[in-house]
Amino acid sequence: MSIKYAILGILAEGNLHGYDLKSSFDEKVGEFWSLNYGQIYSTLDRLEKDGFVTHDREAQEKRPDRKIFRITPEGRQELTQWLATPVTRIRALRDEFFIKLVFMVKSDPAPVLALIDKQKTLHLKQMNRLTQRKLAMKNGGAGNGALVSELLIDAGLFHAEADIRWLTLCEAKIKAAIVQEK
Amino acid sequence: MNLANLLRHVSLKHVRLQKAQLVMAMAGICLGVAAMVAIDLANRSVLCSFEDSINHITGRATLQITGAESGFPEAMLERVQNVAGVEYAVPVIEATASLSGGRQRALMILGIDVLQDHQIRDYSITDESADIPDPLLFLARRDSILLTRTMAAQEGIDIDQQIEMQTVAGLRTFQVRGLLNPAGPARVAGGDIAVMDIYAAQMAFGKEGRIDRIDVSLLPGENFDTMQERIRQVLPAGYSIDTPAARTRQVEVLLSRFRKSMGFISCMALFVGMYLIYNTVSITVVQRRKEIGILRALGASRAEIFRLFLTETLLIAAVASLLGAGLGYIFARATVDLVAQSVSDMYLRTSVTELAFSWRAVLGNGATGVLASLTAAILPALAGTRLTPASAIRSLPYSAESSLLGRKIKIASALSLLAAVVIFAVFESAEPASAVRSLGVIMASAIFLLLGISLCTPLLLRRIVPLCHGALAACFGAQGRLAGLNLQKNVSRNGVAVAAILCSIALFVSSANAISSVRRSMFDWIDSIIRADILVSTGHPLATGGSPTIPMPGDMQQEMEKVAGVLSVEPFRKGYLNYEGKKVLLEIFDVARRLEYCPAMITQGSREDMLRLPGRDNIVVNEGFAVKHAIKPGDTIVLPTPAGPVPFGVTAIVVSYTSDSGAIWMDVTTYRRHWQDQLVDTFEVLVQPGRDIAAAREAILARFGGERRLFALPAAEFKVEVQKMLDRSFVLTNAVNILTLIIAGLGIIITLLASVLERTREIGILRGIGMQKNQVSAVVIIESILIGAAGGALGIATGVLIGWIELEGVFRLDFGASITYHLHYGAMAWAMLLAAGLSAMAGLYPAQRAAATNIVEALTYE
Amino acid sequence: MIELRNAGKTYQQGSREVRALRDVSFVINKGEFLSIMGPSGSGKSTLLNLMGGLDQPTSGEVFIDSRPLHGITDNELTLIRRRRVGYIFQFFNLLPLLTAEENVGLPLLLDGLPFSEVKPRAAALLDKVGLKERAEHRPEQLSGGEMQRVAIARALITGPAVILADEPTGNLDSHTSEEIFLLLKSLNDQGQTIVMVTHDPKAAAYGSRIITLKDGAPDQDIVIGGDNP
Repeated sequence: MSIKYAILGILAEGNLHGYDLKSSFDEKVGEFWSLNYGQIYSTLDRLEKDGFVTHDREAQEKRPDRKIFRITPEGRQELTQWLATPVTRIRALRDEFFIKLVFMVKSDPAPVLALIDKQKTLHLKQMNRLTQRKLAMKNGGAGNGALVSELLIDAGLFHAEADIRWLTLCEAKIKAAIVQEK
Repeated sequence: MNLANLLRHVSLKHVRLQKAQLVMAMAGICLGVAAMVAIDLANRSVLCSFEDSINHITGRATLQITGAESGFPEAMLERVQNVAGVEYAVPVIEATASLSGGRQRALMILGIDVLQDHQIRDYSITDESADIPDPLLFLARRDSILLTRTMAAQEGIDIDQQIEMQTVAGLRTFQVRGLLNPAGPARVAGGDIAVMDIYAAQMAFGKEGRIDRIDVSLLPGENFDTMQERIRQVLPAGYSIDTPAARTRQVEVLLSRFRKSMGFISCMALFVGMYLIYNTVSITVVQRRKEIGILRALGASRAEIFRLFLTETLLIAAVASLLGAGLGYIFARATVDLVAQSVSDMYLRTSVTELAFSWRAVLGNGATGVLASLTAAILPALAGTRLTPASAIRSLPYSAESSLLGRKIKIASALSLLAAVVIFAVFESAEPASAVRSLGVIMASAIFLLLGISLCTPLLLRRIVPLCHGALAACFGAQGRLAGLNLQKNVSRNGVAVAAILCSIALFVSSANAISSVRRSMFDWIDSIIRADILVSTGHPLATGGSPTIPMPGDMQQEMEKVAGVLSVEPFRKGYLNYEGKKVLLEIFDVARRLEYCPAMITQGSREDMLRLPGRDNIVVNEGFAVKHAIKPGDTIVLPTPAGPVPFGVTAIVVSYTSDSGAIWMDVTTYRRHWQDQLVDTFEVLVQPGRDIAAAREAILARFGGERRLFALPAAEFKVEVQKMLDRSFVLTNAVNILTLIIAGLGIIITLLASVLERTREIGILRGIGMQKNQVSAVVIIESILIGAAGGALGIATGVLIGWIELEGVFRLDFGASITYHLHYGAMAWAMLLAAGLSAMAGLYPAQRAAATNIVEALTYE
Repeated sequence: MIELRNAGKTYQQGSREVRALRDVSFVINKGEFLSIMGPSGSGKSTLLNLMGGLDQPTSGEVFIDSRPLHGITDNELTLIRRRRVGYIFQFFNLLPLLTAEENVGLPLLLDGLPFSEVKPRAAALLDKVGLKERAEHRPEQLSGGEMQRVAIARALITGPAVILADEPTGNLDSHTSEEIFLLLKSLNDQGQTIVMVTHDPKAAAYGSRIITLKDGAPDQDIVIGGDNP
């Protein structure tokens, strides 16, 4: 589940209370996900239960205290680990990988690039597996069902290829940006 | 084996599938070789005909003794006969006569000792005249003559028939006593020869008591050199004792200028041909760049690629050279008469009866063609091997710019130019007699100059073309701009085409300029010496085929002066003498009288010096002679006379173009005193002021017409004839020049075609984005005109330089320093037109190919 | 089979020095199908050219079947190219004037064999790549896929130790490309070592090993083989 990591990512940048957290979420990934407060608070509850997030109370005039959420060291560790882990499902790549990019790029590009590499390798391995399956199927003889399966495999291969190309582009652009900043 | 496979499976495909290109390359070599073979064969034929005549006339004689042209005293014969070791020594008179009827056929008269001559020469008399061989009967009748069967048949003359001939003594009647079978002397001059007894010949040809030659055979075992020495001791100085072979060599020397200039142009033709090969092979390498890359990637070694290209060139050149040799033979057949005519006009009367076919000439020139082709192919073939397989395969557009514009080329170009200058300087500063002053040296200078300028054409183009962009765009719009860009982008390859045109145009312009300079100088000179109104001689003064000039007795002068309307008559006699082993022309006239009305072109000395000629042993020499023998006014030289060597003082140096090997002017009184020769070749007649020249001419003809056949030619007509004669002698040069232009044209076609083929894709793109077919053609044609114009302009500039070198080296050596360099602007304008026009024509086919480019194919092509 | 030890290649481009490859070391084993991937300019083709003897390293060592490719003469290199390496190019690089059969037989012709001997072998290979009927056609009469099959047949004719393919499907559509890869894969299944340079992940996926290049040096070496994760 990516919402949890998105929230961890936002909190890693600074302590926020629920309302600000929502605004920050919308600002960063609002175009991909629209979340209501309920979803945010239930996710925060779960994170707190897991010990990744904790909160302080802040007193307010004429109003009840509000909770300022803060990421715990465990939370940070969880986030880092997640960020370093490539996305296993090809179709899900852009959703999930994008989130990771959002939180990684600005700080240190090295891990991003490493991630892109890992992601590409993974994709390549997957493509290789798909190709093997296709070859096995071809050798196994053709039927109508075999053709449909082959076409599905092809679809997977094309998606993977597109992802790899996109990743390659990401890599090139991130590098170009680094050069520019320098 | 590898090579065989490559040739069979790769090269042969090019042959089969790219015929047009192959045919053009072959045509280039073929024409080049043909020109060389034709010139060589024609030259050889002329020489062979001389040699044959000499050999047939010589018979078994191993030594020939000659004196002055006018003959020497008979008494010498006895002296020679008495020399120990001499087997036989027989007298000979050689003269020319002409039949009075019909087309006045000229024939050679051989006057011999009827009783002795068979020891030296074999005569075979036809059966019909079996009763005649009795020499005594022959001798008893002074009008006896033997004709050849060949001539008799042609002229319809029978045995015992009377024939009338023009001789020194006027028209004389002879009786044909017999006919000679075509053997020995009867084969000379295609049978135009007659045999007389020596005494009768002396009478008829004004040589009483004198003979022209003694033919000597030696006893077995006698040494040639010692015999020469022994004979020399019994004779006065000034006689030459030569072998027949030496006489042949004399003819060769006499013809040397002619042969030199022909050699020069045929060499230049070959040079242009080489350029074409260079061009073709470079383009082939460029076109087959990718093929080379693939072959290299597949495992063909550098050496194999190099050998492949050389072998291809070898095969193509061999076939083309063979064809060229055949074509050259045909050319030679067509031009041999022309060459013989030129030689007759300028040197010796000759009639070439057959083409001297020589395998050596044909194969030698063919081999030269092949060798030249191979040499020309080496550089581009090397360039082909230098391509690394990886880069060749990338099929990037050709860019040898760096290599062709590189430092090496600049250095080579500079070195060539320097070499040209140095060689020329060495040539100029060398002593006239030095071996350095040879045709080879001057040619090396010219070729280095051409090479140097050719090598820097890409550089020049790179500098010049950008300057023309504005003008091109203004004149031809977008097409012009594009054509200019194409030219500039491909400077190195177009440079080769430009250089090819440059070479041929330079050749054309240089000979036009050199020839025009010689012509102008000659005409000025003729104007200066021919100031008489009428020239009187027994043969047409310039006729070559028909009647020869037979000398007239000197006392005709007085009689002619009595003719109504005649103011004065000058005698003119010419002869040859042997000076330091060289045949020198001796021109005899009344110096004092001549100077009264002729402005002699004196280069050193003065009129007063000239006037010191009559009555003294003084002479004047021409520049050619002075230069060759390093003579200044005031020097004394010893000339052989019939009576022995006589020292003559040189008083002045004059311009005279009558002989390549030098000319000496002598006063008629001096000549007669030493030579005892009263004969005259030409009378130069001045008509009294106010009298009609035509009337005076009629009067002269009426006065002497009964005695002898005379030509009285108005001087104006004579000058026109001389001009025609000169122009005739340059016909061959012009023909070769045009041939080289054609070769250069082929070069342009090949270059443009290659560049069109290579730009298929580019043209496809241009067509694709909306360029019209005729615009594409226009670009190609404008490009080719630009190449032609650039080649033309550079060629004209180079030609002016080479023309000057040619004049300095080839002509000045023979004519002397008084030839000034005249630029022939007409020829230069023609050259420019020709270069541009030929290039435009050469661009037509590639333009058509370009326009026909299939857009879709061109764009999908890789 | 092929081994690179610190192989490097530096070009002189005008006055600038371009390091196309730096210190590349790896070993290619017999029977491998290696894909080399990398963006343009990463040195893929240079690497392939070094392995095939089209080019020589400016530093380091390259071996094919334990024979060095570095520091030998051009002629020795040429012989190795001719007999031990089969090349397949993106632009097919067939000689346009030769028929399919002659193009296939060209390496043997270069080796001096008579065409009568070469012809049946070329015909057999054309049959193998499915172009039996096209033997007499010239390249211009063939489709892109067919041209590449001719090129593959040509690469096979000497029985080379390795086939080097440089973007073999760069100019072909997906379906035709797949046919070419299937052909290469089947050759690999028969034991033929293949090294292929590509920037197409689909193509690289046919390999049993993928090396990615970055800036003239190997970045990742992914051995896939049969063990699925």
